[in-house]
Amino acid sequence: MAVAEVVKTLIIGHKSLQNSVIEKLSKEEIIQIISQGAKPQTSELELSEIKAAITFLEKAANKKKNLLESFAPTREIVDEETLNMSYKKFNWGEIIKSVKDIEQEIGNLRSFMVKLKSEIEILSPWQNLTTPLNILAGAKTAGIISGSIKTKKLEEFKNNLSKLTPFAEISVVNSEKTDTYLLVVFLKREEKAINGLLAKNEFVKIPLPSSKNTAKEELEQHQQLQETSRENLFNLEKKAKEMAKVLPRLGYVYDFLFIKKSEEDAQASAFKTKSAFFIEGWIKNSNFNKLKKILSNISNTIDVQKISPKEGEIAPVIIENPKIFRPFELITKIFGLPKQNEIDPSTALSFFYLLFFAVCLSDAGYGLILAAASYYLLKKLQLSEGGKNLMLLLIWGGVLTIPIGIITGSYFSISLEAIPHGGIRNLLIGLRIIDPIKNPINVLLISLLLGVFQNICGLVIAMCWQFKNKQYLEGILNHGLWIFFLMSLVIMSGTMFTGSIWAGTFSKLSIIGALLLVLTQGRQEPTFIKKTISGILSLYKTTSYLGDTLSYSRLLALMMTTSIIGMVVNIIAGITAGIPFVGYVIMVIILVGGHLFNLVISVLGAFIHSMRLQLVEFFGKFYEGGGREFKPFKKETKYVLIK
Amino acid sequence: MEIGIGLALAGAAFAAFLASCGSAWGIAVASEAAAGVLTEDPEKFGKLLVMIALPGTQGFYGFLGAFYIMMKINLLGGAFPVSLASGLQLFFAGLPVGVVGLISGYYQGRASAAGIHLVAKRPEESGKAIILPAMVETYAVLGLLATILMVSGIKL
Repeated sequence: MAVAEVVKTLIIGHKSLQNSVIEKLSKEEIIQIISQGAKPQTSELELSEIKAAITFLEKAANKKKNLLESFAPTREIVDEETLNMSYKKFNWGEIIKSVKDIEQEIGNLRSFMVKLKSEIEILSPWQNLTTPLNILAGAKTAGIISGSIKTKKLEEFKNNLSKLTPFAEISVVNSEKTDTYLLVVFLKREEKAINGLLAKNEFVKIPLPSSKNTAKEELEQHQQLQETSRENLFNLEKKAKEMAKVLPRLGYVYDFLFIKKSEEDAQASAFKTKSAFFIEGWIKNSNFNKLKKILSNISNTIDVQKISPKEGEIAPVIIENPKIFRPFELITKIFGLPKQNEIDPSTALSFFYLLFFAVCLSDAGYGLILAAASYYLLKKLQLSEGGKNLMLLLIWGGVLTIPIGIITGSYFSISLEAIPHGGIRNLLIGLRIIDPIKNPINVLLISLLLGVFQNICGLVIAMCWQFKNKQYLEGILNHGLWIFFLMSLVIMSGTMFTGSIWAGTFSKLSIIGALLLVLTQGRQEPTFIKKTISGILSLYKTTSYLGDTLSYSRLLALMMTTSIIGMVVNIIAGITAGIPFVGYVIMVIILVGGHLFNLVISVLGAFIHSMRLQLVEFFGKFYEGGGREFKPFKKETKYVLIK
Repeated sequence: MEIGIGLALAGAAFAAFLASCGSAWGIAVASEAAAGVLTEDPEKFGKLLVMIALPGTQGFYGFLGAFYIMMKINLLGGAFPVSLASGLQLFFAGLPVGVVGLISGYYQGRASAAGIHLVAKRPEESGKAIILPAMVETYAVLGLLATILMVSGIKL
């Protein structure tokens, strides 16, 4: 229900006790240690090396996570002793080294193969060349250039060359459709002129590797190399895959070191003198005595005391709620934790959130399936705290959807009038109080009324909070008057709509409310004129309340989305039932797939939109947020959960 | 008579196709951003899938509006006679969800893409990233509501 009181504490003890104190604190998870800014000496390097090895092996093992796992990763539960033993007994140092070697080897091999491939591409057009390649280096007076030219330009090039000099020769090695590969033999003293001619005729020089083999032999050698490299790569990858079975144990070692690192950080956070250590931290006030007791068990020389925070130092926030409200802290946390002096809205929003969720989903069948599926996942999977809370929210939401579905007469969007069994039909129709498809206006009005109700509740909470802080007058003037004005306004429009005799009374009350607002809302302004102006302008806030209320119309829209899409699924399935032979099979597939799909998008919509109504419309009335989360010092892990 | 039904169908068609185009566009924008993130971090697929799906609702709203109009004139069970005036009314009633769906679908896709970048850097804040595009969706919901209320109010 509330924000717990968090106090600052100082632990003083003899240096020799520091390790056991920190060990104990990490087990108890009740204190957030304040770092003194010292640079911790860490196992950072080892951690990053193991991490790299794990990443490589995970990739090599090619283990696919399914969709569910990527939402709610499951972790193995392990006791601390296993971690400790793995660190000591398991030869993880060697493993990391060989993983590194393999990784490097694979890398080298891959780049070697890329090189081979490009050389093969260069060599392959020259297979007809029967002379060894090192001849192309040329002789004392004669040079040889290898290269290619566009086939259609070959004749022109020949002519040009013979015009230029009689002492040059062309030898065509390979002529393909677009390119012709050839050698040009020339006298070295004419090299410059030849080069000029080559450039003019778009001759592309292709330097060939120097070798005493012919191009064909060289190519075969390359291909052989490529083959063996491929084999090597395959073997290495297989080896890596085999090594991947040490992954769980590497995870143990990682987590062992991770815990060690956080302990080292905590050690470094302590302030030390020659013979004593000082640890500063935040702790929940109700846990203070526990801390005192625990530490006195280690030694009665340890002193624990409450100290007042430094100026500008803001305590982290812990919110505490009874167990059934705890899942709703999730929503509060998405917005941001309350500040130390603020109310925790988790309890207040829980009721509204579930109700709105149920109204949006609004199908008894879907509610049942959602509740059952979430319950199954909750029991089946090893979920984190957040995952568990999410599942609990969905279970609650699903359960509450069932009565809403009964009221609106929706069961998998089946048309109740079409149910053949008379008894069930009449029962379900009798239970249906409102039909959203036939009477959207009524549902809209109910949605808006829910909005009015929640908005007023928000204002009441804001007022009560000011009362609690002894700001009685402020509470009445800031919020009480608005509550009065808005309520009389709403009732006035209701009575006018129905033509009740009370309409006159409430219209007078509204006018009184408006006048009171005009008189009071500008009270902070200095002069009379400014007071009046800002008093009148404050009435403009009514439009923002109106906007907030209209926002609740989404409840109707989402309700109709669920039921109409469900209806469409039923209609399509009904049409396919007429197909000969396979009709019923297709019908079942469409029914199951369609409703499942509708369930998923409707739950997503219901979850998000009912959350938005809390965060924007409801919180806007009384809640600011912005508290820092209390993060107790504890044994934190990445890959396993500690028993 | 027939032109009335034609106009009503035009309204339904506009509702469905404009809003669906908006969703397709928005999802494409979000998917482009998501694919970029996935090249670095394929494990985020599940989280990002939700973000990509968010601009998809406009298409459903449009379809819903279209279906509501079809139900109104009982198209699937042998259409009621629709006068020219009623047909025109149904045509205009289909527009809010269609046009708003088109535009808000695209912009919600952009908001989703921004949220995807947020998830890429701070996966623990994915709750907030989901809320931001939902802000845009509000107006698609309003468009749908306008269509539904208009259609349900029209007398054939």
